[in-house]
Amino acid sequence: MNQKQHETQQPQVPKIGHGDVVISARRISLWYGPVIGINNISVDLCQGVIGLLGPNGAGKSTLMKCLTGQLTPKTGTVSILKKNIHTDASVFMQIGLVPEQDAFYEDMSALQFVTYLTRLQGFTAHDAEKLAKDALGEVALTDRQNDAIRSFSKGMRQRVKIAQALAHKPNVLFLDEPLTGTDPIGRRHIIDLVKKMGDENKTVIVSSHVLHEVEQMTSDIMLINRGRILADGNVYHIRNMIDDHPHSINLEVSEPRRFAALLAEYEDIVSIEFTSRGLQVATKKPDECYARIPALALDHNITLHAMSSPDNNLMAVFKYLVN
Amino acid sequence: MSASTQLQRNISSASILPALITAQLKMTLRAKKTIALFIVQLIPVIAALFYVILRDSDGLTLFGNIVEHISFPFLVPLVALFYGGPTIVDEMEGRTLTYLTLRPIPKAMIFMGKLIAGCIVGSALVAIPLLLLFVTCLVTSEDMGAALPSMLQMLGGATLGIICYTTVFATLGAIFTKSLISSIIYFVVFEMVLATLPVLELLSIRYYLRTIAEFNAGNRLGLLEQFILDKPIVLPVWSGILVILLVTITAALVGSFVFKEKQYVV
Repeated sequence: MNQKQHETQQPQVPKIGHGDVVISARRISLWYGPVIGINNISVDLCQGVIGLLGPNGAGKSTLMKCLTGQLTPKTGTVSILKKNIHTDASVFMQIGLVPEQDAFYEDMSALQFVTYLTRLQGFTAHDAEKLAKDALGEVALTDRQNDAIRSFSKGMRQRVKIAQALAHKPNVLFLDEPLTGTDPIGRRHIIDLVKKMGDENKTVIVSSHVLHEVEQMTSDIMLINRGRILADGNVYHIRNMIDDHPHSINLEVSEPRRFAALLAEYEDIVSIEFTSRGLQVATKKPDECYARIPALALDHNITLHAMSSPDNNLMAVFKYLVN
Repeated sequence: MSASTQLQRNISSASILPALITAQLKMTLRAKKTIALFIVQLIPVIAALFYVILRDSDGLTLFGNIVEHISFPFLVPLVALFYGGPTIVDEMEGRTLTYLTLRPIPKAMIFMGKLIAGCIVGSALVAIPLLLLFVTCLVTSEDMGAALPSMLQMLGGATLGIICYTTVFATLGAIFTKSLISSIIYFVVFEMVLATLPVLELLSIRYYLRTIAEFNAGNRLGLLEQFILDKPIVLPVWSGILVILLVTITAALVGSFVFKEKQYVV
């Protein structure tokens, strides 16, 4: 086999985000006994916010742990900023992690906790405390920074975890289910913080099984299930991948039955279902159908109250790909 | 340029290790088990105090008996059990290990930092009551000048013992990720059973602590031993110190290596 043939047979490595490659995983697999955690994943993650999506048990946390060096994959390699995560500890100077688990040194105050962990990033005690105070300010915990963590609510604890991950100003941030247990204000705060870091061209990997949460932070996503990448890239790009397949459109119209009869004339319409608010149409040619619907309603004097596609929501894309 | 890149960072052992040890010391000193263990360590001191007040007793003999029959076999390993075994296991069970392993420092340094902190607190917990006991016994010693070196020898043996046991238990915890069970099994097998058997007693730490303290070898010569040996095996003090140091260093190296290589799923 010559070089050219060999190159053409190499599977293309998905590249997500923008700018330079920051995290590079090649053929990483990890299994727990007979159970596969992740299976032969190769991916390049660049700058910006990237959503890591999948149902519970999909392998998100295992992938996160492999990418952050907490677990060593049985096969393959992971490098961050061109340094091997499993052999070069200095790379952790550039990494922050918000772990999923609700774990702390409970007797410490928030400031002591963040200062201690920042101190272990190589800063002097004075600098570490200053950075810790800044980070706690970022997550709006300055007022409570001297209180013991054990007295904190779930949302506040989540913010302490974020503060310890941010304090040393890393260029790569991993957040494992960061919005778990947060109240609406805390949630908004965290979402804004993540978006801000993405805007600063940092690489932020956010894992979640709650799709609408990630959708609020980014459109660059990676869907995984059963330890494999199902799809990757921009959410709209992913939608295009499934445009050859039936695409659903919800319609709220003044005369659903008559409008359904009119739509049924077209060959691209696969199915029509009546819903409590109107009808749901499945089409093989969504772009044409989107253009046709308003025109058809206008021509036949039918009022079109609303038109939306559940497929624009990540949940629909996810369900489609998983199934 | 971000603030952190403007600030100096030093990830050398000389910079990080003291920070790690200091934080661990603070956490350990705040722990309830420290207070409980300190009270337990004080029990022989209080008992000795009554004994000295109520009876006419030789201080050196009293001190030696307490160290030989209570401290070495029970109190020293007890403290080590609670500070050695949990070195890594507590971080694992508390799921805080993730925070430590994501720092730009060698994993071996994390293990050593936590171990050193455990040894310091453990040593203090054993040494302070023993010093109190020492002072109590010293005043009743018939020959204070002659008693002092022997007492210091026993005190040194206890301190070396706590360091050695703590390191061994920490390593067992790192290997088996069960802090108490693995340490208790080790203690029962090596320090309670083998320590009483002829020749096999050489496999126990307690034997070398007794050697350092120069306890009367005849005291441990059991019936079984008499069938095999005419006289108990007696080694010089320096060999006891050497073996204890070798065991401690080997255990620390093994523990560091295991912690570096092992996958701890938190």
